[in-house]
Amino acid sequence: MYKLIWHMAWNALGRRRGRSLLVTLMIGASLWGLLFMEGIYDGMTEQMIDNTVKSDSGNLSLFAQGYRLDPSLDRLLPDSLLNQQILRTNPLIKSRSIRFSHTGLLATAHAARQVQIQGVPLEEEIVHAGLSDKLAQGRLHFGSDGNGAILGHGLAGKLRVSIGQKIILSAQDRQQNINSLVLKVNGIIRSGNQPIDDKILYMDIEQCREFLGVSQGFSQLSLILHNPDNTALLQEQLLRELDDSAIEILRWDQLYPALLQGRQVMKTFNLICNLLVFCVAGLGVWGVMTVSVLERLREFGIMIAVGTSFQQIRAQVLLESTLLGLGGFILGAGSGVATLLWFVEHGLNLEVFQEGLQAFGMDTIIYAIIRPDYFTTALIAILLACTASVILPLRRLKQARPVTILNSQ
Amino acid sequence: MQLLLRYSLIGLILFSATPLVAADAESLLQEMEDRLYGDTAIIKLAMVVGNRRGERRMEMESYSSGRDRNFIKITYPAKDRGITFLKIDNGLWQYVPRIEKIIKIPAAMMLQSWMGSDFSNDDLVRESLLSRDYHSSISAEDDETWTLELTARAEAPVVWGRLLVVLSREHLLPLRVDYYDEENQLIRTLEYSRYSEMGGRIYPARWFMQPREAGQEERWTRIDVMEAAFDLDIPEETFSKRALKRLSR
Amino acid sequence: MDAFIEIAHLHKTFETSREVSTPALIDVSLTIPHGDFAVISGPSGSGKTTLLNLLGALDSPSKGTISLGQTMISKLKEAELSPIRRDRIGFVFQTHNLIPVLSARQNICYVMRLQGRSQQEQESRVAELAGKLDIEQLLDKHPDQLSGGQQQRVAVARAVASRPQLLLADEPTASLDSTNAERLLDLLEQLNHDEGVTVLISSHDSLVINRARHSIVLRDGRVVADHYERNDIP
Ligand SMILES: Nc1ncnc2c1ncn2[C@@H]1O[C@H](COP(=O)(O)OP(=O)(O)OP(=O)(O)O)[C@@H](O)[C@H]1O
Ligand SMILES: [Mg+2]
Repeated sequence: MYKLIWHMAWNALGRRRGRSLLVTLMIGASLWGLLFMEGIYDGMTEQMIDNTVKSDSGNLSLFAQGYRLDPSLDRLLPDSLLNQQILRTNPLIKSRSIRFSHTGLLATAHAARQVQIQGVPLEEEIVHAGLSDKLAQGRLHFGSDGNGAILGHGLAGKLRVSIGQKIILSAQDRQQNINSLVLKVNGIIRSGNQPIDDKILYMDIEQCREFLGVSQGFSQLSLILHNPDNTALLQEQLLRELDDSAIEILRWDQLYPALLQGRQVMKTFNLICNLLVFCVAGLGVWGVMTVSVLERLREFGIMIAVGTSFQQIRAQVLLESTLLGLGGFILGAGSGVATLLWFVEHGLNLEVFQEGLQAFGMDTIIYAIIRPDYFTTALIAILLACTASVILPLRRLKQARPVTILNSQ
Repeated sequence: MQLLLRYSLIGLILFSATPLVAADAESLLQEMEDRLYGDTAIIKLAMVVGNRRGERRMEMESYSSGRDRNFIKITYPAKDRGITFLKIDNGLWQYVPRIEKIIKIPAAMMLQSWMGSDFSNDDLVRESLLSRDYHSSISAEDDETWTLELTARAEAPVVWGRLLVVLSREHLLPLRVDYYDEENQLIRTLEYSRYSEMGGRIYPARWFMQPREAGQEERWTRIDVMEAAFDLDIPEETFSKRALKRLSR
Repeated sequence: MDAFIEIAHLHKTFETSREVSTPALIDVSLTIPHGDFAVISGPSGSGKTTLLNLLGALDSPSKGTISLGQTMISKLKEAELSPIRRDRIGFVFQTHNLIPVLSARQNICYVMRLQGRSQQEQESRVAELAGKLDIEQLLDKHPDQLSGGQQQRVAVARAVASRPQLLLADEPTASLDSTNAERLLDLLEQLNHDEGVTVLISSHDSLVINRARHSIVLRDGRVVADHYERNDIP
């Protein structure tokens, strides 16, 4: 019996090969588009998060209590914090870096820009923030005299400085005096995190403290974990062990709620895309199936007259639409996987849109992501669409008397 | 003592009007700055800022003592009247009567334009300690002028790579200063003109700042010195933060 | 007489619109015995097709009853009717009898497949009928590759393949020339004789009417004649 239904459905599709192929292609193409967008957009979002985690927030960041509201040079974490057992030997922690931050003004003869001075121990920061991958020009070195600086590439562009040039850094020190210092541009980095690229100036942490009249301490301890899923766990541990009246311990998503929101927005966006594919598949299959049911009324009439039950006809029509949907799914998923795999490997180079992308804190090369749920969701959407699309034609069949169906042309 | 010596030396050069003695660039520079700013100076001036769309005039009174301390009060236009600035050493404060607040201008704003002009806050704060921040040499001279070439000292936190100062032999005051960046590209020119008798000395009544960078040529800032008095005693408290508010009225 | 079909006081009225209703059959009562070879004739619009559709359970009567053997089919629901159509009735329409996506062979086997007959049984039945109906060469062609006469012969094979008790044929010769019409009638007679299938044909074609053993005449929805030819009373 199933064989017969299968046979009838397959033959029916084969008889209208062009139309079947067209709707399959249509579903396939829209699914391909969906998968491509999902993969690329998810890639973008995750890259943004990754960039921010590496270059700033870590998975967790420690600040002196009150520092984030009022980032003054008096609210620093003590150097002794680094010797705490829980921070030194914690197996969850993959890397850590301390940062001494302050705002200042960076000037050349052409322009001056506000900067975020980031005094760092360079070796640690290179590992922690993955700076080697982000170096755009020059090298990652503060020079033998410690007067080298590494700039974000947006900042360098706005100041129109290049490697080896002199820059003047001015900032208010702890005694409220404005100090100035000559630095040399040693490196330019492109982190993909726009606030960093536009504002950051890395300099030697010792030099930075001296310049700002501070003898010890730092403003931020950034921690990156082996497994980001343990972030909340480590946060709890630290909150328990450390004096939280003096120290604030914040997760990346607490520091950058917008990024988490971004992830949520992407999820919603993906859902909407799925809905769109659902509609495209639904409309396509609906159109094709309605026409093909209506033009086969005589055929169905004969089938009924010789004893085919409505259930069988329903099963056949459903199978036809499902086959169309599945064909589209296989086509779309196949080409989608192939495309995404390519972009997972090579990345999507969007240098043309460089400005715009970086304004959103994104890289110009976007590496796609592939998640299994892209396919399951799309498959469910398509199957639902295919089922929904034959409800109306089938109702017309069911409501009519066999003789009416038989005599309709 | 040294100062005296240098004065007499310059006097000699000036009055003999014969450049027999090779002038020393460092001393010329020092002397120029002394003459320009005096021990103390009280100056009423108008600052006119121009661009493609038109010009804007501001008037103010400036009280300075040495190069470290300066008090400025805006007197015109009415909406800005009473805004005062105080610069002590490396700090710059501003009093805004409308909000009755004294604001310390943070480092990050130091290079922003001062009152919309081509001068920056920083120009006010670190006003030309040329003799401290630059090596100088005489690069050219003729009957009327010396041209001093100033190159930034390596450790000096100045943005300019090189300055060319054209100095009037007659007044030992600048006629023109060209500001170059490190790539030796001309960024702006400051011209001094309309030399006249003011406060008992010859003084340039017009300072004209012209940006030279591409795209900026249509902007300019002009300072017209209306009155000046030099080396008067200015009360110490003028250079206190309390004065910002008190002298605002 | 062993009644196979019992039609009692059958009415069928079509509600063409709110005001107009067309009485297509009026108080029709008939008895058809097993193995009958009956021809329903009458002018166009007299209700022949309507009567066959009701007998074939493709439509339901407005009033009256139809029994097929022991089954009162006029009382059954749609879901109960399809096995009756499948197992007990064979239908030949005037034209377009075949399922276009299936080959002639597949069309003939279709009902047997619905019944779940074995492959072997299907094959031997197809071979048997193909021989009788002279359609061996046509078996693998699709309906659109066959002429009208060939299609009708395949349709007859399809209709009797599942060994129904009743074969209904609505103007089966209308689209055929006289030679083909004669051949088709020969076949129906042969099947009636060989397999004992009760045959009920509607027609206004004298060629068909002349072959009738049992002649039923309708006019304006009423039975105006119902008699057996001499010698042919079963
Ligand atoms: N679906 C329908 N709706 C309305 N009236 C109908 C319908 N089917 C048949 N009729 C009417 O019922 C009457 C009987 O029609 P029927 O088709 O049974 O006649 P017929 O004897 O088969 O005619 P023909 O020889 O032309 O095929 C006719 O008056 C016809 O107009
Ligand atoms: Mg008819």
